[in-house]
Amino acid sequence: MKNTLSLMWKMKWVAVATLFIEMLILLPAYFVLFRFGEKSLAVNLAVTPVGSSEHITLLIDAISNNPAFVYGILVLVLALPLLFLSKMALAAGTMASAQQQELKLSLWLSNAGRNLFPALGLFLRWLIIPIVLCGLAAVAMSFTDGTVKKVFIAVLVIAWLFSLSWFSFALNFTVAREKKALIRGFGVLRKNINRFAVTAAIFVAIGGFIKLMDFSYFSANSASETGLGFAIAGALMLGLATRLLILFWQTSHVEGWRKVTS
Amino acid sequence: MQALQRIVLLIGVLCTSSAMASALRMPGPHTDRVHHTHIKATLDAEKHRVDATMTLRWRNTTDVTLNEIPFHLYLNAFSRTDTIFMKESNGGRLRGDSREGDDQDKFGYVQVTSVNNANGDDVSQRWMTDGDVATYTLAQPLMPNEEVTLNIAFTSQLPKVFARSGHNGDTFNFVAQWFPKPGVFYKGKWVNHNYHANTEFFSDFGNYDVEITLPSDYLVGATGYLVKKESQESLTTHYFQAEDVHDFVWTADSKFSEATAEWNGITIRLLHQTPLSEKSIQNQFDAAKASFKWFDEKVGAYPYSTMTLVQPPENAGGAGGMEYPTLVTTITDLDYSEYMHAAAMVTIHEIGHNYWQGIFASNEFEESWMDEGINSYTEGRIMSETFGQENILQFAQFSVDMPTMHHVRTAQTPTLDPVKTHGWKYVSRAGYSTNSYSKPATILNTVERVWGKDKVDQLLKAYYKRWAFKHPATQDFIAIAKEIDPSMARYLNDAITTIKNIDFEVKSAVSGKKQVAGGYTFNDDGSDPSFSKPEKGEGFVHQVTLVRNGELHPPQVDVLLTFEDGSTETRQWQADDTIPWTKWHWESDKKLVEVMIDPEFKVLLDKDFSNNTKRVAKQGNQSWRWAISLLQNIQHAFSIALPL
Repeated sequence: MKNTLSLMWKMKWVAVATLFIEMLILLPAYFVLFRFGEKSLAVNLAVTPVGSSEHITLLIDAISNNPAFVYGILVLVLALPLLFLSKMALAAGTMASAQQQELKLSLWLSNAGRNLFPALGLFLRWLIIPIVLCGLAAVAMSFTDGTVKKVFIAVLVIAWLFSLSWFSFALNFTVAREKKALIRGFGVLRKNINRFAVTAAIFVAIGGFIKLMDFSYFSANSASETGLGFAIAGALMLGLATRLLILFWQTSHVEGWRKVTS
Repeated sequence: MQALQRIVLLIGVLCTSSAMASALRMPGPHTDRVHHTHIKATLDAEKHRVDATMTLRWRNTTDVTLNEIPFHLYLNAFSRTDTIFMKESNGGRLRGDSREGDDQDKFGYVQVTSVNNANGDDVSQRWMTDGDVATYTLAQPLMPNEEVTLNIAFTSQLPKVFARSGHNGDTFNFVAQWFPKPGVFYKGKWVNHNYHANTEFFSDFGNYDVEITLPSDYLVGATGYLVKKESQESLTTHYFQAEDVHDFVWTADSKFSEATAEWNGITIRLLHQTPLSEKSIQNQFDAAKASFKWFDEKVGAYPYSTMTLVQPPENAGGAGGMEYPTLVTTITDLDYSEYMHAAAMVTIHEIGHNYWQGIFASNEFEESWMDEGINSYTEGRIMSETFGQENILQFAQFSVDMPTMHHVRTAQTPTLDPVKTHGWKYVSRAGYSTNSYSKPATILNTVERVWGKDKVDQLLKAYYKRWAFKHPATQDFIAIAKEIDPSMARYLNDAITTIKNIDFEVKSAVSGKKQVAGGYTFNDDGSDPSFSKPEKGEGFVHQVTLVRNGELHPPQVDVLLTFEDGSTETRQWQADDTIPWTKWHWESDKKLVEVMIDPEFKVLLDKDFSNNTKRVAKQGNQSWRWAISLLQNIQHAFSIALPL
C-alpha cells in the first residue's frame, strides 16, 4: 500500500490534467445547459429552491416549451463517446507511465495516444467478463426477494469490481505490449486477491463518500446565498478527489502487476 | 347540522354494534332505493362461469310514465373483438394491461336465458339484446311510483381479466359488472350507454340480497355485509346484503388470505395474496383509516359498515385499482417496499371513489371528472394532510408533490376538449385521462390556492350535504360554489365547461437610470431658447409589460418585483377581461432586476410557468447552479462506475 501511495503521489499531476481534459470535453454541454437556464429557466432561488416541486415545475415547463434543454442533453450524449475514448487513452497512458515510474506530460500523452486502440481492443474483449459475471448475479437477484435479494445485489457490485480489477491488471499487459493480456491479467488478479479486496473496499468507501459529498454540494449550490466562487471551488475539489481515487485504483493495479511479474 | 349528523352516526354505530350487525353504519334509507335486487349465483370455479337467477323489483321513481327499461350487459363488451369496448381499446389494451391472445378463455359474456314476470309468465319476447345493452319493453306503461318485477336467469362467463372483470386462469375470480343492470332515467331521458373503453359506470341506488354458492375453500369478498354462510358438502353459500348502493361486485379465490381492522364502526377487511408482510398489511389499513378520517372531517360520514380491500394476484393486475361500493381493488405489489407509497395511494384513491362515485353516483359516462377529478384532488390532500406523504416522488433533494404532478400532466396535454365531455368523445385516451383526472385536480388545486382551502372545504361539505345519493351533475357542483363565492363559481364553470386556457407571461421588463430631460427651453421674454443637456438623474425608471395568453384568469394575480439590493415588493395585477395585457411604469430609487408573476404558484392551471419570470439584468449566479450540479453528479457517477 505504501508503494501504491508513493506511486500515486508521483503521478498526482495526471489527476489534475485528466480533470482539466474532461472538463474541456464537457464544456459544450455545460455551456448549452447554462444558456438554456439563462434563457428559459429563469429561476428565483428564494422562491423556487433547486429540487423543490416549484423548481421541477419550472424545469419541466421550460423543457416542454423550449427545445434548448434537449439540445443540451444531446450535446452531453454526443460528448460521452469522446469522453470515454479520452478516458480510455489517458488510463492506458497512466498505466504505461506508472510502469515506467516516470511522469512527463509529453510522455504520458504520447503513451495515451499509442495505447488507445490496444486498450480499446482489450476493453471490447473484456466486456464478456462482466456480462457473464454480473449477468449471473442479476439473474439470481431477479429470482430472489428480501435479504437474499440484498445479498445478490452485493454480489452484483462485487462481480463488477472484480471484472474491473481483471481489466486493470490485463491493461498492464496490453500497455507493456505483451500477448494474452486477459488470461494473464486473471492470473495476476488471482495472486493479488487480497490486494483486490483492500483496493475495492477503499474504492467503494471513498467513492461512496464522494457521492455523498456530491449531494451535499448539490444542496449547498441550491441555496440562493451560495456564491459562484464556492460552486467552482467545490466542483473542482470534488472532481479532483474523484480523479485521485481513480488514480489510486490504477496505481494499485500497476503495483500488483509489478509484484507478480518482476 | 354537523352535530346532528354526528349524533345520528353515533346512534347508528351504537345500534349496529349492540343489537345486530348491518350493511349500514348510518341508519337508512339514504336513497330512493329504486330497485331491490335478489340474486342467487353459483360459481363454476373450473370454468369461471356464474349461473344465476335474479329477481328485480324496479320502482318508477321518476315523474313520467315509462314504456321500457334499458339494461346494461357489460360483460358482453368482452364477447367479441368487434364490440365498441374492444375496438376503442385497440383490441383489448387498457389501464396498462391487455388481452392475452385470442383463445376462448380470454373472452367473456353475459347471456340472459329467460325472463319471466312476477306471475312466472315467460316474457322473453319483450327482451331485446343488442351487444352490451338490452331493452325490456314493458307489458303496460309503468306509472310514477309503480313497481315492476322481473325474474331473469342469466349466465356470466368471466374473461381472462385485463380490464376490471375476470379470472386469472387459476383460482382468482373478480366478478364485476356481471348481471343485467338497469339503466338510469336521468334528467328526462334514459342513460344507458354502451361500455366504452374510456367510461366507467352509472346506475341507480337500491338494495341487494345476493347468495353466492361456490367451493368451500374459497374466500369471498363482496359489496355490503356478510349476513351468514351455509355449507353443504363441498359447497358453501354466502349471503350478502347491501343497502343504498348502486352496484354489487364480488370476488372469490381459494388463495386469498384475510386480515381485518376496525375504524369507528367500519370493518376494514383486506383480502390479500400470500406471503404479505405485516408492515404491508398495516400500511393498507393505515391508508384506509387515513381516508375515512379525512372524509369524515372534511366531507361527511361514510354510511356503510364495511370496506373490503382486495389485492389481485400478479397475473390479474387488470382487476387492480378499481372501485366498487364498499369494495375496492388495490395494486398487486403491496409489499412494503419502494411501492408502499404507491400501494397506499391507490388504496386512498379507490376509497375516495366510494364517496365521489359510491355515495354521489354522478354520471360517469358523461361527466367522469365529477368522480375521477374530485377524487384525484382529495387523494392529494389525504396523502399530505392525513397520511403524511406530501410528495409522490422524493429523491435526495428532488421532490414532486401531487399538485405539481397534476399541473405537469395538464400543461402538457393540448386543451382540445372541455373537462366536461362524454367519456368516449375526447380527442384521445390522453385527452380523457387528463381531463378526467389531472385537469380537474389542477382546477381544484388552483381554487384552493387562490380562494383558500376553507372555501374548498365548505364546497365539499355542502356538496355532500345536498347531493349525497342524488346523482349530481356539474352544474349542481358549480351552483354550490356560487353560493360560497360567485367569482370562484365563474372560474370553475369556465375551467370545467369550456376550453379556455391561461398562460401568464412577462413580456418585457426594463429598468434604467432616470433621465433628467434636456434640450431647448423657450423663455417668456422672447429671447433665444436656452439649452441644457439631458442628464442621468437619481433613481430608476421601470417599465414592465405583463400578458395573459388565454381567458381563464382568476380575478387577480400576485407579481413579485425584486430589486438590485435584494428587497422585494409584491403587487397585484387585476387582470382585465377585455384587455389581455397591462403595462406598469413607475420610478423608484432601486434598480429592478426581476419580475415574477404568481410567485407562489397559485394558478396551477398556467400552461407554462417558465415564462412567468423575466430578469432585467443578467444574474449569472442563478441558472448555472443546477447545470453545474447536474453535470458534476453525472460525471462523477460515470467515473466511479468505470474507473478510467
